[in-house]
Amino acid sequence: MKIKYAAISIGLLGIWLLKLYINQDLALLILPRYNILVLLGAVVFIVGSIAMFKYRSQHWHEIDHHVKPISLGIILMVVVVEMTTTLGLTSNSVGQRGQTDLEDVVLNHTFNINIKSEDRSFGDWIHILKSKDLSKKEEGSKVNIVGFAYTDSNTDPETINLSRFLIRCCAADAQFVSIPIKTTEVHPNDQWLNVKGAIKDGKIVAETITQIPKPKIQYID
Amino acid sequence: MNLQDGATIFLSIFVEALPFILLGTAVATYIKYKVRSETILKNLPKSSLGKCAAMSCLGIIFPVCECGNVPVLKGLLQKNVPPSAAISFLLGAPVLNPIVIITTMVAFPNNPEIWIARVGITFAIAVIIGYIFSFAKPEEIIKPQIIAKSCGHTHKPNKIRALDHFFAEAITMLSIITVGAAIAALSQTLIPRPFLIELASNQLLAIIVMMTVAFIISICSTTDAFFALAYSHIFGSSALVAFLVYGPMIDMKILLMLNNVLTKRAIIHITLLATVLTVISTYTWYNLAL
Repeated sequence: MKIKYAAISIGLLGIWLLKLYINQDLALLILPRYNILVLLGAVVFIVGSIAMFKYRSQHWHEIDHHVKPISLGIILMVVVVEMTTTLGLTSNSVGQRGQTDLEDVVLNHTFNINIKSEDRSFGDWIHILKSKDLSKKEEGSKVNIVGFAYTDSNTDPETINLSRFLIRCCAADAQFVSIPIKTTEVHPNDQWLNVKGAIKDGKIVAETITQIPKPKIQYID
Repeated sequence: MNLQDGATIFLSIFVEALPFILLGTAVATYIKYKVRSETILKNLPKSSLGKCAAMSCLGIIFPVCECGNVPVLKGLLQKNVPPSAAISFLLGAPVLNPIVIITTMVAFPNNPEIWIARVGITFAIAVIIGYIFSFAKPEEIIKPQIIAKSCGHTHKPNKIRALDHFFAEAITMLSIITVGAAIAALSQTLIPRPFLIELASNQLLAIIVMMTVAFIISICSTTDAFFALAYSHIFGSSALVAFLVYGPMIDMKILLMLNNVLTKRAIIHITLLATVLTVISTYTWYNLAL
């Protein structure tokens, strides 16, 4: 009898992982480079579940005698948690994580100075703004970046911190990084924005700020 | 405490660990059905110290992160590998493997002393702790049900038997990692990192703080070097190395997983020894170097 419950549990877990992969919700939890491993895990669970159902009349000694029902229940709780909460880190965690100063941010991706300035990513602009020399060279360059708004009592006046979470492996190691944007506009924390502007005196001055829906890919690495 | 952030952290740890647990369980199943204990034992040095040193470097062949190492540990113990050597494998393998060494070198390209210290101190601690356990009896270290299942020989590889073992182990480990992930997520959302950083007013406190951070955040050894890099402007090299050495050995989720394999007493001793040795070695290393 327990083999049926084990088969259902791991089958549900596999389907849940597959759903996360197909809906691109894994991007809210882990770095995309690990997605293929999670997909393989989903396949293992689904195939395992089918095998357990197909051969349920055979003797599954270890599952019958050593797997506790609570273990199956605990695993299914993971699925319940995901289905009942919204995924993604918010600015509420800034208090727990602290803010990483721009000059201390270390990114994994390769910076390419030769691409058009409007096509540069959030990470590219961090790379530029960290360096006084690069910032000077980019004076007047057009900027087009996406992030979420964050301001607190320490934020300079007429500034919004356009922010992202930087992850190395998964959301558990996320660091909060932000680029100050000069603007008179006010936006609530966690509102995702598309900022278009230009570099002036080493800072980004906004020309237009558009509210956008939360993107699927929220983190940078 | 924000529920969305807590749930995201919890699920991220679970989903990240899941493939590595499956990989470790697959390796453990392979060991159970394909590897004879005589094969393992005849290739190990004769002395206890030699066995510990050799097994601590087994991560070169099995570069699985610390989550995947616990099922492999269980598999090795069931093949009558001496518990002391298996413990050296548990503590050393998450760091002493090519992937972790390379990522540490990439994260600290201008500070070779950091990856050298990480490798050297991890190796030393893994061997010392393993050797200390060579004076204990196996029943004092390993849970009775693990010893009861040890038969030392390979079973006829039957597909259903292998699947049965694989999924029984995987389900048990995943349920444990779920609890570990929940505790780690709760700790992260309740204990602010800036508060911990403010406590680090001197080198010794900085080492202890970074070890605490490593214990709480419970991230994989394959990427923790980049996480540590973010603290390089706040803490000195000794605290960073302490983080890089301690985290892969002892964290929330590993302790819970070990509870399935080792006795509580053994886990407490491993934790205490790893903690004390990490503090002493990292504090001494840099003071001697200066």
